[in-house]
Amino acid sequence: MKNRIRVLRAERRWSQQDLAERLGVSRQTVNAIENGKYDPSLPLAFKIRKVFGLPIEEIFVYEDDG
Amino acid sequence: MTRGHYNPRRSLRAVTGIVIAEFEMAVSANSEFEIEREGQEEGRASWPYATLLFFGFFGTATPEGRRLARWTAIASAGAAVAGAGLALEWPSGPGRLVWAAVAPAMIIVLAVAYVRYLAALDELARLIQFQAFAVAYGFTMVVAAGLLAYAFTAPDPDLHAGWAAGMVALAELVRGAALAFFARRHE
Repeated sequence: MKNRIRVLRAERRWSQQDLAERLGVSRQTVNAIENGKYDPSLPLAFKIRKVFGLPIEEIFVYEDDG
Repeated sequence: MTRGHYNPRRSLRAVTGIVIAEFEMAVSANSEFEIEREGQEEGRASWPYATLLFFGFFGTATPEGRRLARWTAIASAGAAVAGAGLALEWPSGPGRLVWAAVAPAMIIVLAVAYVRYLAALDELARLIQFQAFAVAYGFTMVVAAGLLAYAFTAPDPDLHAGWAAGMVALAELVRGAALAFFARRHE
């Protein structure tokens, strides 16, 4: 699973810590998701969608979808 | 001239306070131990490896970490007092049964504190804890099966209570190493 969280976060000038606080997770978790080391649960993915105000498919890309 | 009266409750409180302070200092003396490390380069967020390896949790930077440290210190002090009471055979007679009840009660306190800690973690931290638990559990099962086989097959097996304590210590060592390993995999 790929994601555009790092880009979306940079566009909003948020630090990893800012995003972590908005999501209620640790900075390590945000870092692991951005680096593709961890795929978030569905509830966390929906929280990320809500924080960025974008459809989920614009944030996460399933690798088979190209 | 007034004489100070010995107050066991106050003494216990003082000892507990010292143990808690020492434990919290041990796990937070270095900022590297904190799960939220300040001033860390963007795009890099290391886990508190030393704390994971030696203490089995993510440090005292968060309220749930501090709470776990506090209750672990209290339960450890209680278990140590109970162990000393049993070892010194004091008091003699049925009074010693108190220690036999206190020791498992302290383990229950530890377990409850740990469950509450797990519930307060975020999903990745909790996953890392569960993965490490699985490895430690599997390792302990293998060692226990080996000991059982030894007990049944050796002509004169030399097994005693110390083996059980050793297995607990070994399981904790394996859990610490597994925590550091799985945290590294998610960095």
